[in-house]
Amino acid sequence: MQVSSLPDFQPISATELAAWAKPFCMAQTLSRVLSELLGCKEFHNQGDPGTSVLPGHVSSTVSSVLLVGPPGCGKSGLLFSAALVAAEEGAGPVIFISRESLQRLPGGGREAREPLLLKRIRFLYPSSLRELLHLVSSMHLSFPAPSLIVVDGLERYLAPTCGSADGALISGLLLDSAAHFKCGLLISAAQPLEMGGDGAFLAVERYFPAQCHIYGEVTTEQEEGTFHISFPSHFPPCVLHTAKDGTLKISLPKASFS
Amino acid sequence: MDAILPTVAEELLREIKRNYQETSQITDELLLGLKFIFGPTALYALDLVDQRSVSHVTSPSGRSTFQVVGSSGKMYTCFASCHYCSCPAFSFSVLRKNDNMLCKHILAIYLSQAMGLCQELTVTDKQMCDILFPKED
Repeated sequence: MQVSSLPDFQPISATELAAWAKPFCMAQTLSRVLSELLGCKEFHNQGDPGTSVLPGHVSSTVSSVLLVGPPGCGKSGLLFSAALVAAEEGAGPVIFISRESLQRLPGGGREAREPLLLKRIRFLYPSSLRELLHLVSSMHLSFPAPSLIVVDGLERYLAPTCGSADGALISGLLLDSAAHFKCGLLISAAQPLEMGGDGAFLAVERYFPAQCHIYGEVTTEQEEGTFHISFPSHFPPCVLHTAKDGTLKISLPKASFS
Repeated sequence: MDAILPTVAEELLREIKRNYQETSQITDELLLGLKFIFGPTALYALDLVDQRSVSHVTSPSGRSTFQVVGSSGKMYTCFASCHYCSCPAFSFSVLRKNDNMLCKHILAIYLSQAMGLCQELTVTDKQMCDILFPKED
């Protein structure tokens, strides 16, 4: 979280920090989504420190997370699950931004339990980077304060001709809007195949120090749709199974049970 | 982005603020410190502060941002919550080449804030949109 915003150089007290972190802690929300998929209902940091896999001090202040993974690995599903968590528990609506509409609602059960939750999610589909920038720069006009802003597939807005200035502008605007609303920010992106040129994606990565990576292993004979999740200091390494129908399942690698 | 300044820079800015509040000037020692941490950018930024180039812009929604008039007279937008400036030097030497931590406009904001030399400006919420994302065609 960008706590030390420009106007102030005062050291931040623990209570202030807690107040900042309170609205919506993205790292924790994402960790919860992951743990629910894993099958544990409660996976909170505050608990017996002996049993917690997470270092409790880290995640409580991170309000923006970048989820990076290859196409088709289930990023949209994870984001949608996080949106449902925020819609259920957050103070305001959730803004879900994507280039195209979701083909289907990824399974997970939460939306079946409470269909009204979907009404608390505003789906917006800007069709170009310019439209997206326009939308984000005018968020303070039209919305009641959201509890979470989600951007699914940011790379689809960054054409190969985009430079680092474009990547920085959209990242900065998103962070600035989230800071204005004191809400969470969750972004997913697929890494571009070629990292050359002016590096819009590199610029984006700079703005989001908290990153959750999903990657497939090419060398092993793993079944299709199996990926690894790496979310250092927020969640233990685990394996993500993405079924063809979009259903997500997570398991811990065997080694970590010992 | 590592929007949070290194501790040493934050400490220095705090020292400048204290010093300036008490004496309305900045000691040579602190100026040297600025030069040491920020290099040539420090001098250009102080120049901008002298020209009173930094405005803190607020709109009724509570959204706020900074505008800095560059040395060429061009207006640049810098965000209040993270390090971003619309100037070419920011894209080039901060983002691409990683030579500098900040551009002179962002440093000028830090300094103007510390010295209480920011112009306060109020705009409408609509005008704020255009400042955050200027639509030049």
